Amino acid sequence: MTATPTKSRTRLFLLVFLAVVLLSVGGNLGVRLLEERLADNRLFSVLVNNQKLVLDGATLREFNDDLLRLTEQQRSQADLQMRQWTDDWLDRSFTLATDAVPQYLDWYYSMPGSYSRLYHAVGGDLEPFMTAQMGHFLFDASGLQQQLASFDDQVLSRWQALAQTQQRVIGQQLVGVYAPRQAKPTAALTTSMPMLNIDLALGSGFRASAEDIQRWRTGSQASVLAGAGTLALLVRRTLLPRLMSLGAVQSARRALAGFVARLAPRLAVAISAGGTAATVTAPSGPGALVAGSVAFLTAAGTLVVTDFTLLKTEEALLRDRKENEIRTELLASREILRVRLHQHLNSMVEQRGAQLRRALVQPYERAEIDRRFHILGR
Amino acid sequence: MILLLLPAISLLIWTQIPEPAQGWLFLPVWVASSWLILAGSLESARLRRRVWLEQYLLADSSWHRLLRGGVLMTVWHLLVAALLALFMLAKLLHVHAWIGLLLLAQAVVIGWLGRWLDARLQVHVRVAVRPAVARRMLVPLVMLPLLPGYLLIVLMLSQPAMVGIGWGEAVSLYLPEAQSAVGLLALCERSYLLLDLTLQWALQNALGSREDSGALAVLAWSLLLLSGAAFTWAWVRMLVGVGALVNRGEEA
Repeated sequence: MTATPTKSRTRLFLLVFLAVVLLSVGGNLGVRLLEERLADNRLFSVLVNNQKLVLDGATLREFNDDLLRLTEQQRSQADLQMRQWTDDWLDRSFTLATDAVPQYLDWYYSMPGSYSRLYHAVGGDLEPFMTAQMGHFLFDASGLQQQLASFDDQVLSRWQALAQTQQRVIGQQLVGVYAPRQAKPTAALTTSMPMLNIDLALGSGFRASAEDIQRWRTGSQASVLAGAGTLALLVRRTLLPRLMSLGAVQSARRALAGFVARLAPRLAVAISAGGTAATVTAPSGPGALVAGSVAFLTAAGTLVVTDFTLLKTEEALLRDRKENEIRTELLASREILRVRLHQHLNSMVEQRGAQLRRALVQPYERAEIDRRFHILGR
Repeated sequence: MILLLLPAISLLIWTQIPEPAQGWLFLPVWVASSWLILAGSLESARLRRRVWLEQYLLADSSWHRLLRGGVLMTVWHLLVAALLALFMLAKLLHVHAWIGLLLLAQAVVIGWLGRWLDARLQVHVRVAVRPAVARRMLVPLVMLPLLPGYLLIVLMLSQPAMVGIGWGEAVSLYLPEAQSAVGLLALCERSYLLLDLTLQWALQNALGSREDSGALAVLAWSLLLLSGAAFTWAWVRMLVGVGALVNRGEEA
């Protein structure tokens, strides 16, 4: 303690500096040595996108993280695309039906249509006949029936195609990133390298198996169809009664029924009128009979024709309203179906996500790779 | 006061600097904090030794020179100071803002308490050793509010919920990443984080349904108190060391 204050302090500082530098150099050296000694230097061969990559443990861990990240990303994308595709498909399908509405109405107001309706109204089976006709025009002739029946196949093939492209994309991205980062295998190690087949895992994770398809079908029946056989049947069963009970359709039918009700007594009046006229004016004998029946037929015919014209105008007034209501109802059913299909797609997506995660764990279980924790090293 | 705030603030700023610069500044920061801790602890050790020697040795014994404290003492305290500083730095990188605030407030408290103590000792203690004695008494006095404050904040901060899960699982789920890229500091950080996580896990499970919850409670509280005490002690020692370093020049 003989020197000036600054000198004493500097001496102490130099001492500390030297010691700390020594400690730091020694510590860093030791840490590095330990890290090298404990480094994950096992090698793994990874089969991805039909290419064999040799990776060391640390790189493999990154590879695995990337793989999980990419598949998750692709999966959510697939979810989105399937949703969009379903939406488009629904719009397309129901456009078929809405486009067929004018044709149906054309038939409805045409002569054959009117008379067959009259015929069935008189026969008492108007309701089932009309239901069948509506089903024929809106479902069978328009192609909606066929379109709906093929939904399962279409959605599965679409999914399949999407999955294949995604699998290829993931494989290509991974190879692109990790091919330059391969470790150099020594001869001794190559024989005992654990093999990871990522292709197989991705394949089984993405591809829809027979079991998947079965699950889809039963699932779609359970959630969308509620007991019915196919989507087409569901729509037919739920949609037709709703269409038939629409206000405009009902009032048109009521007009017709009223006409039929009026028809019977008027016919009777016409017949008796014809009869009296004949007895009053005509001579007796076979000529009277002929004259009477001619009179009856003219009376009845005029009555039917005039009343029927009245009916037609009544119905024609309803045509626009009817068309609008049918269209609106079709669109409403489309939205209901859309919600159900989305729900079903969601549950399907979740199932597939779980399946994919299981599939991706498999190669690691087979190669007996444990997840390790490192205090030293990263 | 400003001299006290300077190292405290610069250390807290260092913890917030982004990575490459933080790595470069690590060595200077470590040297500086070890220097401060060493100055303080060396002074108090010399004082203690002198009291002991004057108590037992004859005035003209040659052992006075031998036992006064030289290279061996310096090297020992140097080692302790460097390791304490390293521990403190690793922990500082992960302290919560509230604890940072508490530490900063402590610098002010130390300045204020030091002045008050100096005034009290003026009429009682010999001039030559007064600053050293004041600093000796300052350390426990400052630790008194600091340690309970530290414990209070640590126990009030939220922790990841680890009740009912095994230690290994807790580590693999919740161990945070080390912040530094410097190998030695990162190692210390990871060890500290592991220690912290262990004590949190033990603390949470001490009252749980585990069979060894009694032992866990002991482990948890001893780890909590030991690590907290070591950290706060290093901090106080460092701040007190500023005074010792300034004084060391003046007395020489």
